[in-house]
Parts: sequence; structure tokens; C-alpha cells
Amino acid sequence: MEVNDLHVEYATPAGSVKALQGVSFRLMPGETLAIVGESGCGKSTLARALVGLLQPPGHVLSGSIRLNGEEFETTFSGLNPMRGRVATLVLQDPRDSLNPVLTIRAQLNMVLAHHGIRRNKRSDYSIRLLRRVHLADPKRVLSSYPFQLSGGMCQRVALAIALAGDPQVLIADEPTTALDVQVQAGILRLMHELQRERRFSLILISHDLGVVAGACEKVLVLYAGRLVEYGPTEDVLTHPKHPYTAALIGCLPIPGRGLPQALPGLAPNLIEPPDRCPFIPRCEFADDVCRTNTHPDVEQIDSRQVACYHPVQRAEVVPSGSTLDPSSIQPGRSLEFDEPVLEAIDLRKRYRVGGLIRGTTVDALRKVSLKVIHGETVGLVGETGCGKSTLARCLLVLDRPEEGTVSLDGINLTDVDGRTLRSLRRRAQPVFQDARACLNPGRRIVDIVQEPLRYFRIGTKSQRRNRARAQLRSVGISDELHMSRPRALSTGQCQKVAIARALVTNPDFLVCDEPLSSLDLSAQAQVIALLSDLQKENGFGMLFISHDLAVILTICDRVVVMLEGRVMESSAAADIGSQPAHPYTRALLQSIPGVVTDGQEMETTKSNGLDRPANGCPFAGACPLTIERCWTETPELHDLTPGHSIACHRSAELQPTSVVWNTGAAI
Amino acid sequence: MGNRHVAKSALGWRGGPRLRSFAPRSPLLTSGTVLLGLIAVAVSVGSLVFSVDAFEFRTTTALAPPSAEHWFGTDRFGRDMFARVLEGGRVSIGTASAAMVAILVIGVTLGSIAGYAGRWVDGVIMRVVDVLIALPSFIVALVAAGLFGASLKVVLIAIIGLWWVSYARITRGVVLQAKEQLHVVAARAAGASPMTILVREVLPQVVGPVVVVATIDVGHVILAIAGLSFLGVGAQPPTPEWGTMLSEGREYFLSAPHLMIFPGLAIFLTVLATNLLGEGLQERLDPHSLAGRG
Repeated sequence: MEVNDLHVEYATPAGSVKALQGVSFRLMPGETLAIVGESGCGKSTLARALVGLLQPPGHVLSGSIRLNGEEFETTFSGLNPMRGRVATLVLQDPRDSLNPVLTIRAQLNMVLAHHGIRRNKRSDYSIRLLRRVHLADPKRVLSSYPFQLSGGMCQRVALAIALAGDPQVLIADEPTTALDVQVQAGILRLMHELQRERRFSLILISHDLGVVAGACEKVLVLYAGRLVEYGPTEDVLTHPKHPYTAALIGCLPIPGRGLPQALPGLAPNLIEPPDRCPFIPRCEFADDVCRTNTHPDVEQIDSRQVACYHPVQRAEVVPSGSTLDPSSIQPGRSLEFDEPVLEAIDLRKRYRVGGLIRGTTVDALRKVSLKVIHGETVGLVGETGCGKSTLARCLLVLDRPEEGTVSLDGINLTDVDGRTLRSLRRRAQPVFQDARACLNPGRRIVDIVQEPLRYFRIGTKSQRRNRARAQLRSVGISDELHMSRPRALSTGQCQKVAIARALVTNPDFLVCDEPLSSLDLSAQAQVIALLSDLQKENGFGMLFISHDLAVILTICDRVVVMLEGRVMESSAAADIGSQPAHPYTRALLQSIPGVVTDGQEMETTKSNGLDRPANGCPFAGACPLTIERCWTETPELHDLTPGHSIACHRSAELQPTSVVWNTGAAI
Repeated sequence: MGNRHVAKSALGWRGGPRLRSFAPRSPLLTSGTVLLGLIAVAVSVGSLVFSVDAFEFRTTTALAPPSAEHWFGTDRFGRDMFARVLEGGRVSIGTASAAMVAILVIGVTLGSIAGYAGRWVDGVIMRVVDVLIALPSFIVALVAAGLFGASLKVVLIAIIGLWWVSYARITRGVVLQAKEQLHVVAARAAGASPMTILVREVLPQVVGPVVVVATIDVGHVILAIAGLSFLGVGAQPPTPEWGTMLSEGREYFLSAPHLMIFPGLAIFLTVLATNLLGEGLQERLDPHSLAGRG
């Protein structure tokens, strides 16, 4: 595949938006290419243009896409017969791209019919395809609807559909963004395996350098619709030449490297952009040469192409191939107090699923205990559905736990009346995952932030506004945005506003429930830096919930690992990051790209619940150390060493594991 | 859907709602507003400007056809029909609007209580709604008139008593949905009281759908009142109500058709205007109809 000087624009009433400006690259048969950049840099536009799925108002201005030397139709023109055989797209959200009202069988048949497979052979063919993407029990999957499958399973089905046409080029647009780190690792492995077996070329699009880099031979970095750097993965990532690439790498959370370096500012507006390097406002190397000249041409330097006037050899951002000292993982802050700001004891929570008659109950939390000390950051890690968010809601008594107590500074929140609870809320505040949804879309930013003060009748209206403005400035939202509404803000900015609102009442405790999941890498780094700065300043205790252990290990003092509503392991971050004890924790660590542990390979398979016994260890189905007892008896949490507790029957026999952080490969 | 995704990620274009300002002005909304505005102005100001008394008997000119002097002709007592149609509009539109306000107050209040409180409160209110929704309002109004005497007041009470239920349903649905919205949960976590949450976070979302339905429904209430008056159980003569006027004109339908044409036309235009306005509003407030337009 060959792309030459591709220009794409969207004609909007506000002016034409130059989504892609002169992007060129060549893809050899069997090659893997990663396309990375922040959200809004033109990645998805490129993916759509490549398969001829650009829809009005988007259109290709100039440039060509050739496949095996043949010109490719770049306009959206109904059903293109080339599509499917040639290049196929696996969309971001698998559930979105599958038809919700058709069974998987019907959807596969449709595709197979398009590729001319005879009716009587389709069923066998479907089963073969599903097996190929490692779906256990393909017959059951065939007769399921998308909503009956997990996100990871849907993604595998989408992959099977893409494979049905035996494509020469497979384009995957953010295939793993909506998935847990653990599921994501599985999907990436699968794509790699398929790619090796079928020799198609793979284009992997993602905002996350860490995800794509390990899986691809070449990387193409896009910024504001332009190619900024393109070359072999290892060269680009260990010795980036363009300042933007270096900055992106700096955003990666890598345990032991300290906090990720946030990239300042925002991606530029692409409506009628000036013909200059778009990175100038955010670039520390920008000088008059950059400001007075037109956009730098893409030049060949050594092994790669760079578009920059100052393509200096930068220092290695992360030493490649080296093992990090595990002791550097712990931030190692000495805490002033050791009184817990928040303590939860034996929380239980059960949800009813389904109707009154045929429904069942799901145990979301089974005897979870947790404490957070003043000024401490505790990380809570686990897969989707393990009860993390339920725990967050119970800790703030937004949901009432059925059993157990939550106390804030010794005051039991679970048995105070509504009025007292409300007055205590100012001392414990949440930050949610979906930053945009938690802000009232009809209200101005400054009013959203001053709202909690209003609820507690603090100050006069103008005092409250001033306080809100100050708080907004402290999270880096500049004055001109204060009177705008949430829709004018980027998701990263929304999350900052949410943080400002949470902190405006000076709480002692903050629960951050997956605060990074809806953000791209540079916004993630900004939010991490912000939270850690604010914590240093205000000294609140924080519970940081995430499915990504790498993030947790970069910012937390202690880590709690949860599975199926139970705490599996709880220890200092340094212990978890360097010598995890529980088999499940090891499996979580292995799913971080670039982490190598000695001993057995383990995979966390989010299974269908059949091999998750009701009484017994929730990890029994996937654990290599499972013994008879694990299936019948639930392991209790007990201390391994002081401050390091674990719930495992075989804790006595566990061999110490050492973890190698091969960060050179990680990025 | 897919298209929106691309637009968003490719352009950093965060809008959707902003699209609204680009959307061409809805012809429905414009025509509905203009028509209803004209009717409202004519009805409220018209009888002040137009100085002919709607109740004055002029036996000499009874049943006169439309002329320069009497634009809509006169009725059997020689009363000026134009003045009576205007005056009748005041009664029809006035009572219908008043009824609508009462319906909204009851419906939205009970609906939000049901949706927000949940549990048994919800159960009780919604069972009452289920029962009332099964009753045909027209017949109940007739029965009520039979029991308590035919008057506009009785008919109005019957209509209000039955029509609030659909608003309670709409409101409850929106409130239930809103309760789960993250910014509502966030407000609760930030320490807002239930009342504050309901008034500041939830009810603003109820306004859109309720206003749309209410606008269309005002037309239906006008029709119902006119229909009941036509049957003789609503407004009583000599009150000039459009339905009553139709009823009065029925005897002279062949000899003096203007007695029915003009009140009928007035009802038709008013109901048409409220329908246009309602659908225009729906188009404007409902994001789905915008997405369809792309």
C-alpha cells in the first residue's frame, strides 16, 4: 500500500477543517505500522480515508492511495467491492460496530455471503473463524447477540469478521482503547499471531504509544493532520528526533521513572490553520526559524522521516533494555500522620440483576476492607466488573453497603442521618471516569465549580465565584474559559474542572474512579501531574482506582488488588511492582507491555463465570497453582509480612518472583 | 453515528449541540409561531380594537351573510359573528391554556415525586396513573356534566383530572433517567439536598419533552372543550365559545353556513398552529432529529 501526499478536509459551516495535510507513507506486505498521536490529530480520518469510508462533509482534496500499484477509490461510494478484501477496519468500540439486534451468526453470514462463500459452507467457515480468534465455544458465540458478549469477545468477533475477507491490509483503529489492559494484551497478542500466520499488513492506530510500539515495526507520528516523524519503532522511540514524539513518550506512565511529563497546552484548531509548524506553541525548541518559515518539509534523516527545523538527537528518554531498580518505584514519601482518614471494614454489596422473578443477585463486594491514611495515595486495581466502582460509591455512601462500615475520620458514615451525611460530604469528594458526563452541560464552568460551596452555604455569591475562579486557575483552566460551558472544553479540561469542583470544599479524602480512562495519553499525564501536585499542597488522602497497574505504580504509595469483589493482595507499591506475591497480581503485571517476570507466563482470562466458583478463590480457573482447596474454600486475607497481606491458599509455597521492567521494549 | 465519531476525533470538534445554531430555521416552528401569534394577538387585542359588541342583539340583521359591515356575518340574534369568534377565542384558548397549566403543575409534580422517591410512593402514584389512563376523558367529562350539571367548570375539572397522567408519565421517565446521570450523582456527592437536585439538576431536563407535548396538547384540549361545548355540556350560551357557536349554527347550516364555517375555521387554525409549533419545538429540542439531519 502506498499513500501519497494525502490531503483531507471537512467542509463545516465554520470553515474548512484540514484534517490531513500531505501525509505519505508506504506499507510493505506483511509489515506492521503504528499510527499514533493525540485525539484530534487525524488518525481516524486517515483510517477512514484508507478504506474509502470518508463520509461527507469529509473528502479527499488531493493525493492518492495505491494498493499493489492500483489506484484506490477514495470517495464514499456505497458498497465498494474492494473493501473487505483489501483493507478492513476494526472499529474503536466493538459493541458499537456490531449490529445489536442480529446474532453473531447472522452478521458473519452476511459478510461471508459478500465474499461469495456458499450458504452450506458458511456455518463451518464461521466456526473456523471464531476458533481462529481464540473464542472458546464458538457455537454459543454464534447464537449470541453482541450484548451477551464481553467487550473483549466482541472485539474478537469483529476481528473474525475482518478476517473473513482474507484482507491484505488490516487497519485497526484504537482496537483496545475501550478494553482493560489485561484484555488488551490478549487482543494485541492475537493480532500479532494472525498477522504472522496470514502475512497481511497491519496498521494499528492508537493514542497510546506503549500499546502499539511493542507490536509494530514502524511508527508514524501524526500531529495536527501532518506527519511529524516516521521510522522504525525502536529508533523513533528510543531516540525521538521530533520534539512532539519526545513529549509523547514523556507522557507514558512508567513505574520508577517518576511522574509522567505532561505536554503543555492543547492540540491546535484545524480550521484554516496557518502554514506553519503547528507544534510551535507547545514546543520548547521553537525559535524564529520555526515562526517565520512555512511548515517544515518532511526530510529523510538516517532511518526515518522527520518534519522539524531542529531535528536534534535527543537524549534517551528512557534507557532501553535496562532493568529498573524496583526500589525506585515507591515515591517514598514520609507521611506526617498515620491516622486513617477513611476506613472501610468488611463492606458487602449485592445487586439485583434482571427481573423480580427470574433475576439473580450479584455480589459486587464481598467483605472488602480498606484504609487510606491522611495524605496517602492508595491505588485500587482490578479488571472491569471486579467491584471497583461499587466500592468507590460505597465509600462515599452514594450507595449504601449492605454490611460493614465506612468511617471518615472516625465518624461512621453508614449510620448517620441524611442531613449529617450531606454535611460530611464536603470532606470526601469523588472524581469520576466520564469527565464530560459529570458536568451539567447547561451550566457555566465557574458555576459548576462553585456549586458545592452553594450547597454548604459558604460565603456570598461573589466570594464563591472568586473561590471557584482561584480553584480553576489552580488546575490550569485559564480565565477566558471560566464563563464557557462544558461542551467548549476538551475531555481533559473537563476532568480538570471536575477535579476543581471536588477540591473546592477542601476535602480530606478524594476518590478518583478511573479518572484517566476517558483521556488520551497527554491529557492523562496532565491529570496525573495535577493530582499529585494538588495532593502535595492540600494533603488529602486519595483512593486512585484504575485497571492499569502501570499507572497505579507510578503514583501510588500502596496498592490494593481486587478480583470479583474481593481483595486479593494489598501492599506497598514497591512490593507489588517488584515482587508480587499473588498469582493474580503477577498476571496483571505481565499484561503491562514490556514487563517480564521470571517463572510461569500467566494470562488473566476474563472467563464466563463458569470456572469462577461461588465458594473458592475467584482466580482458581486461571491460576497455574490451583489446588483442590482453591475450588471449594475462599482464601482469607492474611498478612504475609507486616503491611503486605494476601488472599491465597498457597501463599506459604509461593516462590518470590522478580519483575524485570524492560522499559526499552515497553515503549 | 460513525460519521460523528470521525468528525469529533479528527477535528477536535466538540459539538453536537452547537450544530443547533447551524441548523436551518425550522419551517414548522416558524409557521406555527407566526400563526399562533396572529391568533393570540387577534383574540386578545382584537376585541379592544374592534368595537362591535359581541352580545348586542340586532334583530333587523339576523342571519346576515358576511359583508363589509359584518365581516363574518351575523347569527340568528343579529350578533356580530366576527366579534363573537374573537370573544369565543378568548374563552376557548384562555380556558384551554389555564387547564394546561393545571395539568402541567399536577402532572410534573406527581411525576417527579414518583420518579425521584421511587419505591412505594412511585408504586402508588403510577397505579393511579394506570387506572386514570384507561378512562376515556370525553366520556368521563360527559358523565361528570350529567352528575354535576353542564358547565365549563365541570368539564374543565374532568379534563384536568384525567389529562395530567400522561405528563406524570413523561416526567417520571425523564427523572428516572436523569437520576442515573453522572452529573446528578456528582451533585449528590458534592452535598446537594434532594430538593436542590430535583429543582436544579433534574427538572430542567423535564422542560424540553414536556413543553413539546404540552404545546401539541393545548390544541387537543381546545378541541375537547369545543367538542363538549358542541354537545352542550361545556360553555353555555350566551357565552361565545367556538364549540357552542358551532352547535348554535347547526340548525342554520344550509341557510347560513357562515355560522359554522368561521368558528370551525378558527378551531382548525388554532389546533393547526399548536401542532406546528409543537412539532417544530420537538425538532429543535430533540437531539435525535438533528442527528438524522447530519
